[in-house]
Amino acid sequence: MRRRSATILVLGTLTVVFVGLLAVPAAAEITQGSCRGSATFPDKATDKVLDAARPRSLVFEAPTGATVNYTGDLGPGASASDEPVAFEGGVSLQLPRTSIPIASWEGETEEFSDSGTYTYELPAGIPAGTGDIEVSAFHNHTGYGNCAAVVSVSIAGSPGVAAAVAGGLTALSGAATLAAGRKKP
Amino acid sequence: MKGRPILGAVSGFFFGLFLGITLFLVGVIPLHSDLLIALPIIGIVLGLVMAWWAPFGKSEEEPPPTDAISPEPEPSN
Repeated sequence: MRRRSATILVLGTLTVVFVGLLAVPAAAEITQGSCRGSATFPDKATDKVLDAARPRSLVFEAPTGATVNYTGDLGPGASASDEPVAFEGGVSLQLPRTSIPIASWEGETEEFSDSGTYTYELPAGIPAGTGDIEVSAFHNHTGYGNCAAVVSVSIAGSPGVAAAVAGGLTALSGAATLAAGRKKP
Repeated sequence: MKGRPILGAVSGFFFGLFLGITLFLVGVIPLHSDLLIALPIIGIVLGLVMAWWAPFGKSEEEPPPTDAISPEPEPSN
């Protein structure tokens, strides 16, 4: 009877956790300012454009490596300045209750827009096929406004070995947790 | 506590941690989810509850009195 109750306790806890998963909010996109920006992945078969205005709930699947065509500006009607203006910006990876910067830029420019190509290759240690990864970016153009945007991406592929190892460690530590419920001799 | 609270707290923490990592890796929860922090804490609580409850193993019942089960000695002639 007690063993059955313990099993119910464990399953009940897991049920509460999974119900909590359903409460992940879906929100959007450009959170400050009127900036515009997009990145085009020409090698993808479908869903090639990651736009800053893309709803956060619409997850973009990014390949592990690609050459990306990007473009961005300070907003509709923005034109070049007569003299150089200081700017700064960055990209951060959102973690629970915190974020870690993964790229930054700063300098002075007369331009209010930029475009070009960027090639990246994710390190082999980063697992693919994971859950959503929220990436936030900001850009401050002194005297001309601040912008911030958030997008949700996932890395194409399968988690493979990493998920199997994590699952095995979960089972092992779960068994040890159950073993803690064994009476001392 | 009748069980093993230290084992429960430590293994419960790692159970929650690895469960969160597994759920993220298989695409069930996003990386920024607060559950990745909550699960190890829930695991510690679960481990301590298991140690306090201790539903497994032999229960501490009093052994029956020895004279109740020992056979009557045969009268010797």
